[in-house]
Amino acid sequence: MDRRTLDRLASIVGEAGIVADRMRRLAYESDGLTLEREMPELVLLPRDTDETARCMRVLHEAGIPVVPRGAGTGLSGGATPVPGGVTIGTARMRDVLEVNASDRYAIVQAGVVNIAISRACAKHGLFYAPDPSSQKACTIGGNVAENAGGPHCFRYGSTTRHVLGLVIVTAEGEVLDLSHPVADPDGYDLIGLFTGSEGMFGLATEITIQLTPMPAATQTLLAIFPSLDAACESVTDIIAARLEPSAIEILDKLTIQAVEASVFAAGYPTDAEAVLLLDIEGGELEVETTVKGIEPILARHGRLELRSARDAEERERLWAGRKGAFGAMGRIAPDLYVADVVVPRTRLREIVRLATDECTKRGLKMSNVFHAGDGNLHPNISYDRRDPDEVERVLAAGRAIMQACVDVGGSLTGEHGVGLEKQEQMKLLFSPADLAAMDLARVALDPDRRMNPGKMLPLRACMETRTRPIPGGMRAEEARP
Amino acid sequence: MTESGSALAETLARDGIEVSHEGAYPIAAPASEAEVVAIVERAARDGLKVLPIGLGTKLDFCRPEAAEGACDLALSMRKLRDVVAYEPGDGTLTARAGARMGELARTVLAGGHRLTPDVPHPDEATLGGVLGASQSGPDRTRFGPVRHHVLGVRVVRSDGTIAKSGGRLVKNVTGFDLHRLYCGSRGTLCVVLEASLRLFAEPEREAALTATYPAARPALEAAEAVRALPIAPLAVTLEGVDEDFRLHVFLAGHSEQVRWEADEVERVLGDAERRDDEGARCHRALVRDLGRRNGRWPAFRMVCLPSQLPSAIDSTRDFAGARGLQPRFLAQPFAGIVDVFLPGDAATEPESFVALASELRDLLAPAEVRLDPLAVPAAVHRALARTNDEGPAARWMTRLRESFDPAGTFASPLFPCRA
Amino acid sequence: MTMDSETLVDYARSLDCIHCGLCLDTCPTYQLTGRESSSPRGRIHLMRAVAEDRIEANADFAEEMDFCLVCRHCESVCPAGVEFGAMMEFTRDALATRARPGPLARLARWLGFRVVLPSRRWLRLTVTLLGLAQRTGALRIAAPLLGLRGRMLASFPRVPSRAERTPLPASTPAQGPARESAAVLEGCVMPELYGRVNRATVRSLAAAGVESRCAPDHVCCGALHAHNGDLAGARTLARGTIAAFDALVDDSGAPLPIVVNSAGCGAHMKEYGRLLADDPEWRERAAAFGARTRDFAEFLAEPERRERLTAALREAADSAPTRPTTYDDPCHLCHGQGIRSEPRALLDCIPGVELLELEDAESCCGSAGIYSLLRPQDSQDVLDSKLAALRASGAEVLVTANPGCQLQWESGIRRAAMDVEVVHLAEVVARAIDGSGD
Repeated sequence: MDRRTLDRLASIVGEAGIVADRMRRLAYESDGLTLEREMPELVLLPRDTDETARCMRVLHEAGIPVVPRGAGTGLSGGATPVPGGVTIGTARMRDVLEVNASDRYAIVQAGVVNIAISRACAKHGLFYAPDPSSQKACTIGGNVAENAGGPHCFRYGSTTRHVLGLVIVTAEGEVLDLSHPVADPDGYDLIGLFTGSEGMFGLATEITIQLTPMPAATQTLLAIFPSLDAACESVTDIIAARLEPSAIEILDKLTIQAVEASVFAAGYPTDAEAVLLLDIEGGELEVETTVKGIEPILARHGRLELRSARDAEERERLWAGRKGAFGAMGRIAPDLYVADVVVPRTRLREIVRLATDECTKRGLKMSNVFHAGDGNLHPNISYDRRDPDEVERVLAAGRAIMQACVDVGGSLTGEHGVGLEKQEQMKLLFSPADLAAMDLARVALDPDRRMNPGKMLPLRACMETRTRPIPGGMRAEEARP
Repeated sequence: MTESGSALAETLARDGIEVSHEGAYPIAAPASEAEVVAIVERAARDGLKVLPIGLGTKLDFCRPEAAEGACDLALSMRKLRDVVAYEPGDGTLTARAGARMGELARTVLAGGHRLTPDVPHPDEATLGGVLGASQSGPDRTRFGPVRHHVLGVRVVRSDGTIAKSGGRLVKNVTGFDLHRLYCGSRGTLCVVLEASLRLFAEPEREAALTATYPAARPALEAAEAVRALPIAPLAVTLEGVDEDFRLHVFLAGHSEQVRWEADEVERVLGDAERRDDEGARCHRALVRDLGRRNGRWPAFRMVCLPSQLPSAIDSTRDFAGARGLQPRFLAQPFAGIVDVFLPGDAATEPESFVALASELRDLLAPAEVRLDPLAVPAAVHRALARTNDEGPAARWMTRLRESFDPAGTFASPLFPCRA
Repeated sequence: MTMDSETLVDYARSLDCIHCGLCLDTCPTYQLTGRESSSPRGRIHLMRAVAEDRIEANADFAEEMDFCLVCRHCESVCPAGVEFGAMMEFTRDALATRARPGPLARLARWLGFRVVLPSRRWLRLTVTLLGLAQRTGALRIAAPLLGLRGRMLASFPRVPSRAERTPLPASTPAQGPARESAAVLEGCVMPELYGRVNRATVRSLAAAGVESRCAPDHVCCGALHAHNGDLAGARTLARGTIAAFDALVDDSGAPLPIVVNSAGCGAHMKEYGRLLADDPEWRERAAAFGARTRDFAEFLAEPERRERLTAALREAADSAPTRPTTYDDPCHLCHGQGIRSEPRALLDCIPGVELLELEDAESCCGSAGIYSLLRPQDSQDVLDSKLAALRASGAEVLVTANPGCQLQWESGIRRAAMDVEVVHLAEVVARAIDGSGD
């Protein structure tokens, strides 16, 4: 980057908003997907929409690629830097700007941590529903970029259902203010299109989110199963019976053991092959009826024990265990590959078993903890990235699992996004024409393809549909293997 | 009817595609996906404009005739109406764009599922039309707008290629959510061939409560009191005719829960008429279809924050009253949506009506109440169509439109921008 | 891996981190800066990069390591159980050994760690001089010349009178029949600045039927040394501490449990086993010592003692309502020792105490041992958000359980011109027994 551009950027964000030295930049070389690493040319930490827009204008003029970053907890490499690119982080945009209890929305800066929103509106009996497992660290901006999910999205839906408005800084540095929350968009649904666009359409600096009233009653059940198969089959039957709990999660033995060894020990039985964790929410009588509907299904599939959380504290402990599960795998190996496939909920058992086989035959250690109610599986493969052979086997198993899911009508990712990780697999699911349509949206909003380039869309498909000239700096990047 | 439009219609008819000539332009009704592609390709080649429609019941929304030369030929999907896949075990439905909403609802009901949106006159509404107009039913109170439940679509693009977005899964973030962009794009970006929807459980029991108030404010206060209850009503509709404001609250769910909820709502509403099960279902359909009762009166939709509703309704009444008009209202108070109907002869003189509509829009704008034309003469539609063609939002929409339809093959009925 | 990188980083421990990021939002320095490199995950990432020879441990690296408060809040939320505090001690020690600080800094370090802290006489002299400077107004005059550090010194709480700065007696009998005996750590700075806390500690123990004994010649446990890159000094002091306390035994000859009223010291002493793991001669004694170390609240909250204490409190109760009170968790109590409910349980035993919850009570106040002296600006910035939380809580009494925190809060409250009294948990208990509360 030339000196003049650097100086201009520095004058916008000030010393505290710029990370230029090599040592500190290195801390930004990956997000939660540690397989992919790249050094950012520069990291900017603007404080608000205005600073962000001014930075983006400078970067637009200089033709420099931009990678947005929230807390860097993403698992698909969405925030992995690109060579020669600038990473713009939202870590200094942490203000809750407005909580409107009567119209049930809040306007927050993009760097606000997911759980902080619920904290800010708890006194009004409201909460922010999507609850990714990383909710104590991940930011709402990142949630919007990835259309993040979480256990309770089974009832409440993923992030996109809860985004009412956005302030977007475009690739050219314009400010697109769509923050006023109304029922239906005026024109195209730009908010729906932007949510889940993995930072490729611009950078959201403010989010208007819908707040949900806390349920009148909640019951948390923990069912203990003698086999993972039986747990999966229970879920399939619960769905087929059209029962509507708010979350249905499965944890397998290895996961349970890792969690129980951690600060998040929840009291899961360490000798169980699998547990099913369910939240049932709603009116008191509704909860009661739903529980009555679920119990016989669990019994039919041979659950060994059924526990019900006695109080809020126990409920919280059971859920904290689930949400700490991913990190707890650090006890097993230094690195973790988290797959995020989705299958029709009639195929749960089959695919879980297949995923296990794909790992076993490659000599890999695999564990399962997933959003069973949504058919969103997370086969987690533990490995050590210092062992290149093992890394290869992990990637091969990941590919095999994705292929198997696509074969049964499933998809590559349910909540983590495509990012760098599943980019090549996009071709399994989408035809060149499908991908070309996606690229049409991209070039419409970012003609230079400068926002988070090299992510999501497989590279060859992009090259084929490229309709406009690309600035010189981009060629090297797009040619990335 | 444009000359070139008729010529195209003739060609299509020769190729065996059904073409009718009832309205302002010929309507082609392809019987296969290949025919849809052929029509789009042919139109693109000839430089003609195609307007994708279902049964044409929602054309009031976009008034293609408001913009000159906006449409040469309508492409009706009404013949492509089969269910592609209903997965009772997975709670999803995939159907072709011409499928009638009523038929789909009956199909999934057999498997114990409920289809959302519960749109007015479901047997005259097609899936594609509902998605194109992003039309939600009163049940958005509980389930949210229709765009939240579209899991994926297959479409024909302006160059005749078929492309899909999303899939048939209830949770999926693979690729951009183009289906969200298409939903509500009024046929300006593509022709929807088929779409998948998420389904919900058919409730065990329903209940409906209706209370009458002398004005909008007390009725909305009652609605607010219902909203404060720890319940999730299926639908809440406010109907205002003259001095008669009726609040309808619809409940659905497990028997015991619904009974309890109905008691609670009754307690809050005071003197309310209560209907159960079959009675409640019939009443729900009746209230859902109320808009039709207001016939061909000009109508607008006001969209605002729920807390702005009382003042939006009051100022509209005062404004209309001062001009000798008695507006009727049909509102979904929790969503902040009010349809306003202007009975009488307000629209007989288009020029003065344009002035009236513009004045009303300007009156409501400071309170951030948006006024969309719903069923108005073309001239009024033209006057009310987006005026903010400048600015980043309009720029993004224009660019999207140009990117998806560079040759302008799809009709451009002053949407999403005037240009 | 080079020799250099190997000696700088506790590589094996760093491999436990899976980069999930759950620690980010707990970290005071990440909250201040929003910089990944100032977060636990970022620091571990940098350590790993150094160990893997991907970068050099330059001044920027050392700065990010020094910037850390070692509050260990991250450990409380780490699902992988990364021992961040231990990693930080390792790296800081290695950096201190390797770095070539200027002669003045070396002298200050030597004076502080090797001369003053381990010596009762030097400590007393230092504090006396400080008191003198306060009384004569010399401090007020000199403060502006010393910049921010001077301003901090100016807001330093008043040094107690000489009469108050007396050591505890070798033994304090239990009130009523003695059920058991315990060794009490007097500490280094405590007798000089917070003798009243030590007296309150033994008073509370006595009320619970516990005889308190002191190790007469013991001064410092070495916690500050370990946290600030002097592991050798810390090990020497640990051996001395073990020896001094092993000498205190009950009638059967078994060593007494050790009660510590300073969270930082307690957390460190409990980990003597790890500190001396490579010392075959001391390893086992150290582990046994750690196992019988108890925090004041932890010790008294055990059912039997708590019952006896409750009875004593009931007897003494002039159930006059106290002022609204809140409790701030010292980092080395909640994160270092996992003690959260016990202090609150003790406060609950006291009739009339109305306990308000303090928002983010588990986040660091910025004291962090000698951090407030080394990095006064950062320390104040960290405290600022805590002060805002205190203001929002409406409390008039703030209870803590660590002298460093007590000092930090007192200075901050004085600077912010707030009217909140800061007391140690033991003081609240003792006052309730003697009816000298408010």
